[in-house]
Amino acid sequence: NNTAKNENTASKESTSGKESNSSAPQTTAEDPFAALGNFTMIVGHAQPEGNPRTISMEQFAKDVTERTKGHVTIDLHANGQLGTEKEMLEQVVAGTIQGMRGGQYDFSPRLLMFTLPFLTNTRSQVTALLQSDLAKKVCAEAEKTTGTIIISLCDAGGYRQFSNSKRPITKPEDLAGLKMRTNGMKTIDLTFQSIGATTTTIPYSDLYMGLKTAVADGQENPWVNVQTMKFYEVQKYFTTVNYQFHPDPFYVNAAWWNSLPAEFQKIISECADEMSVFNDKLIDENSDKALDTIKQAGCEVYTPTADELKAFQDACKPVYQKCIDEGILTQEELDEMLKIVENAK
Amino acid sequence: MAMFFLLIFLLLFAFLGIPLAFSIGASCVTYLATNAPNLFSMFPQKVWSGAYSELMIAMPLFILAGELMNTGGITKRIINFCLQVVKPFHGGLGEVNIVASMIFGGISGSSVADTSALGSILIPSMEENGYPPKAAAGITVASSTMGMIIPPSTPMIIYAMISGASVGALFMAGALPGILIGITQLIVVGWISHKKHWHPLKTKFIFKEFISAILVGIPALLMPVFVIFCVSFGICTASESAGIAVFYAVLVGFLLYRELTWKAVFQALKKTLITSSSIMIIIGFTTIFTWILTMMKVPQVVAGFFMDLNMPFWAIALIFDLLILLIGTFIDVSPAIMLLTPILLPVMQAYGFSELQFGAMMIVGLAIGLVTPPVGMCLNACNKINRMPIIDIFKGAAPYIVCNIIVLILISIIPQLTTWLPQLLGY
Amino acid sequence: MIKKITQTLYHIYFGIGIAAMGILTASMIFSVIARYLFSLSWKQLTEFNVTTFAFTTFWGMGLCILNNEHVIIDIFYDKVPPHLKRWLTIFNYIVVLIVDIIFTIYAYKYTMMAGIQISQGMEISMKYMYGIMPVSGVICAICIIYKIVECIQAPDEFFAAKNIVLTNQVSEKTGGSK
Ligand code: NA
Ligand code: NA
Repeated sequence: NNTAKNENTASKESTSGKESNSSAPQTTAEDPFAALGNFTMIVGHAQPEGNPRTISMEQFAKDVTERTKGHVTIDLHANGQLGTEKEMLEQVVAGTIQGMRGGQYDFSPRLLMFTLPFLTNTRSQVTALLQSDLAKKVCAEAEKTTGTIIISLCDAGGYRQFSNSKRPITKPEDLAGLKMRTNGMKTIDLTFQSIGATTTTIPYSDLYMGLKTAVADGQENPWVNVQTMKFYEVQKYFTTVNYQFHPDPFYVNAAWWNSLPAEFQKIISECADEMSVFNDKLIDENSDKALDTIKQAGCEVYTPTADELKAFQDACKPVYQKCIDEGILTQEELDEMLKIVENAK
Repeated sequence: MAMFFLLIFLLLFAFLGIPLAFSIGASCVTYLATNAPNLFSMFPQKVWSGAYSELMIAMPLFILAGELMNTGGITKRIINFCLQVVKPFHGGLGEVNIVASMIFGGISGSSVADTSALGSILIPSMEENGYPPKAAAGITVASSTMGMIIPPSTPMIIYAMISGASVGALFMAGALPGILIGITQLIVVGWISHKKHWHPLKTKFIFKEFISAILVGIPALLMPVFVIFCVSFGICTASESAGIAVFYAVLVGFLLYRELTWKAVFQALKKTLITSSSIMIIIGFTTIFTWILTMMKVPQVVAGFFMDLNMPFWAIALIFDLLILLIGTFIDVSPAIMLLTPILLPVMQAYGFSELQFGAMMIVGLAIGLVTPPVGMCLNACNKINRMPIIDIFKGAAPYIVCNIIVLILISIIPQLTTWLPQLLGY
Repeated sequence: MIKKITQTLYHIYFGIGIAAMGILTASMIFSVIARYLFSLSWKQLTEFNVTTFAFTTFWGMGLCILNNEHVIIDIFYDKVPPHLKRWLTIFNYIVVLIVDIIFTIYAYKYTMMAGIQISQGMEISMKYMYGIMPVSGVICAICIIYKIVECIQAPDEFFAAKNIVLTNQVSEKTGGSK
């Protein structure tokens, strides 16, 4: 009975975020943080074991605990255990959990500006964009409007590509008339619609069968998803367009963050920056491996030339304008983004 | 600890007679108030996420389709059709009951709907034809377990929602076990009827009657084939296929059999609203229940325990069968699925079981719980029809439930029974 | 007079729920036809359907209370002698009321917090979606209180075991089940 009570108290503390340690603080030479108190950060994300996000988060948790001498522990919940990405972000806003990572922008729709189609085409351009002052400015808005702080911004899963079962796609006109399955995200739907394809939504778990039975002609996903879900078995034509990437913000509850001693804030931020670099490296490695599998499976993978990419970008101009009209970004910010990308080449 | 705390309070509240949804809610409230008051803010989010489901729209629509079939005269024709089918084998209403359940199971996603639809027609007529009341009720509830095993199946959709498995593949995984249960129950009912002289005297086989019952029955029989075909070949989602089922039932009921009325449609909508809401509220409140368990890392603890046992695969399967049967005896199907899936599925996968096989095991196992006291929704539905104490209905059903248990054991140790058909279709 | 008003309110309450279920059904059939015959699909329509479905769930919560249609495990409950059963029933409704009130309060707070998001499909403020919960919660609370009052006033026979014919007559007379 006694042990049971202890277990309950322990779990109570771990969910309340900040542990009130009853033992007296001891300041020793090895432990410069002893007087600062102990903190637990519950962090959730939706990716399964072995995914770059999971691996990089585990590294982050290890780094933080090590460098704070165990005074900040990260309680990781992977695999969507705490809910969907939308639900987890709501939990961060409410302060029920302290952090989450994932491509979820419903509280900060301005982040969608980084998902404009055909904006970037290389890793260095993505990095330049995510490390820019513009990105920092957009992240800072989150604190005012929703009470979250974005402590790092990396890549959510690699460039998204499209495929179909009808014909090779080399120019925008090739997409016209195709029925593309999307996840319903605004910038994705707008992209296909402005090029002349129709969009349809099919649950991710039923997509393989939907492509096989031609309920949809094509789909768009990063290489890694195409490989894991074996879409290459039911799709013939792929194009390495790198048409879109999703930023992967690491949201932290602002009230909790501001209650942290500055030393810990600094350590966590540093660890998060290192995690971003590590995460993006893992994503690139996985993407390359996945692309190899797809090629070996006998699919046609076409790589467009710079001119062809320009044609796609021009065809998507209406998407840029629509996003400006809806207040996701301003014309000045669009120009700034294009300049950052230009300089990163 | 969290799990025992929650479960004990849940059972306590439930047995006091508090509605199941609120018993689950009350046990969560008690837990949160004493252990983690800061999590209260997520209470509504989790209830909402349980109720806000595109997939689950299939449930009310399948219920509605079933209701419209009863009032539109489709159910009656299915039974007439079955009467003709068993005639050449000298079968009686016992066999009719089972064959009709298999066909009706291909339309309704729920066993309880199966019991009330077929039971209200077949139980009185079986009693008139010399079947003991216990046997009439027992055969009805035992065969209605196939309602949620033969596709389509609402519990399968709930399982798909939690496990992320494809609904079409799951439906196919349930098809063979469902048919196996039907065949074994037919053998048992034939044998018992023969021994106890329940079979009717040999009647003349009239070819003309046979053909007309079949022709009239075909529109009714096409529906299950069409619905299962659509979902399993990925042509449409479960909810869309349920929409088609309603549309079809309306068309056939109004235009072909001409027995459906607008008043009946209104009554059917009324019943659907109530049934759907009462099930979805349970799902909503169970979502917070399971969320607390994950927050407390209960699944990892349970998984660790079973992994350390390091048993042969058939032993772990049989242990889980027992666990499923035990939980199914006390808890209703939807909360049981929501409770067991996140905890047991990772263990099963680590032991090399596919999510399809485990899904089928769980569905077949929990279906048995529908006809075992103290908590058996099919027993309750049957009791509403004939006012027989549920313990007597259970006694009547027991010989046929043995078939379900045999099939449960078979699908636990022979993966091909559940994975072969989905693979054949390309999943 | 009061009885007539409550009757009318009850019919309006039930009517809205049935209408929502009818709209959901019609809209699902429409979207299947549009998608498979005319290759048309709208994310607004999908979201509208799921939201309507969620609406029927929460809206029906109080209706299930009024009609005794919530799933109940009655094996032990039915064995309680009628004079005690009255008090057990009232106790049970009070537990339901407490859970409902807690749900309603936090649902209101949640709506205020998470409602600032714009929904993906219909692009409306999510207040209108999450708001279904607190509104239905308040209505459900009224239904529970109505049932508690009914329990206090009901004759002892009302609490007899459900297999006794008398109960059926009583519940039919009071417009209880179904
Ligand atoms: Na079924
Ligand atoms: Na049971």
